[in-house]
Amino acid sequence: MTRPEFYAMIAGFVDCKPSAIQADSNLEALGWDSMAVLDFIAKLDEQYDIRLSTEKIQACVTVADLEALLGAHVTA
Amino acid sequence: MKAAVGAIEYHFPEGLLTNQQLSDEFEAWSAEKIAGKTGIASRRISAADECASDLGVAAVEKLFAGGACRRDEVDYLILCTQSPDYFLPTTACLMQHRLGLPTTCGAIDFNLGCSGYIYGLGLAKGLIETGQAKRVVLVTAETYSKHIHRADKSVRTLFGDAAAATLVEGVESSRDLMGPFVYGTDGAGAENLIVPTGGLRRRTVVDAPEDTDESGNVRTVNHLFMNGAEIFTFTLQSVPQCFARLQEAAGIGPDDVDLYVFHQANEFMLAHLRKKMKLPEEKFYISLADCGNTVSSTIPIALRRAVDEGRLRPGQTAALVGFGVGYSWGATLLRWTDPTRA
Repeated sequence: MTRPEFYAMIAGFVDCKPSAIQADSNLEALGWDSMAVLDFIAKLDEQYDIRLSTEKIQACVTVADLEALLGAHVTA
Repeated sequence: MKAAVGAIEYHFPEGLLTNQQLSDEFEAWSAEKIAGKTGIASRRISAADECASDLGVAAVEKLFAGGACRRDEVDYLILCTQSPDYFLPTTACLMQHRLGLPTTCGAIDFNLGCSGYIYGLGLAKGLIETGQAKRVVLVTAETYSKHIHRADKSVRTLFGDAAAATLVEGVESSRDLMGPFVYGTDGAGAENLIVPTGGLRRRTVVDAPEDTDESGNVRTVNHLFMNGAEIFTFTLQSVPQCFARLQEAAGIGPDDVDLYVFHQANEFMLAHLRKKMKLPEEKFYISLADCGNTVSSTIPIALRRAVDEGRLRPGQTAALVGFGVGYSWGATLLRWTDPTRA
């Protein structure tokens, strides 16, 4: 997925506009909660067949941290 | 002699916990959001002095009242619970006495959660088809609410208390009416759904301090803890594999199953599993709105409701999959036989 698609995905989970998402946005400040984590896991599994370590997802602080976990799955 | 499910009854405690009540207690946890995510509108909660055995006895009494069998015909009682009345004696023994079952009746407890119904059916089939018993009553009964901290919205939202009683009896049949069974266990996931204290490894801590997690949920070491994300990830991996093993063991394809009855964990998880496994919506049974996740009772409650609604008819085959705490999982096929008795 592209970075704009990734940001749009994150925005959908926290009910904000994609334009509000920046690389250094603090996930907690965006409203990223345990339900958002489940949405994220489900979406990656369903649409992209990607499975990440739950522990690593839960340790992410910023949007960039999440993107880094996805590595090559997100393209600029 | 083949083991078959003859009848299913269930019982809920009277206490009610609605989404509105939860939303009144927890800021930013709206009733609509809860219903939308979980598919649950309300849960039934046991009274302070109401235990799993009380719920279980009420469910079994319904079997007798409905004419499924007489109490003197029961020769084995199996109770699946993780909220027993005592360490000892065995809760099933107390239930044998309260139910007036013969003293020639065997009675055991086993400790499993959301996979428990599958394991219970497997045990009952083994007892019947090896000639050890003729009529087994399998009870699943939980009062998880007693393990849950009042300020932990994550698990309080999901779990409800209930019991179900299933009569498994031997019938003359040329084909299997239950099975094959496939099982799975991975104790590496134990810490992700656990009540850390209260057993002998770590006794209940008096005046245990309250911890608040990053989502604002409060609990102590004496309460149920669930890492929802880990449980979800485990489920996405184990359930499709488990069902594939069942299909292989049974030599069946997708069209050979008339109704899928999975453990009713929550609608979010079930909807995702259904899509992932490409199962048709019309064959995928969901019923938890009025009771939540009742642990080992979700499958028998759903089965009974599916039969009542005509979604599972005599001669049809249901695929049952249970999964959860342990981790533990299992699956089987159930051929529904007698419409008048359930």
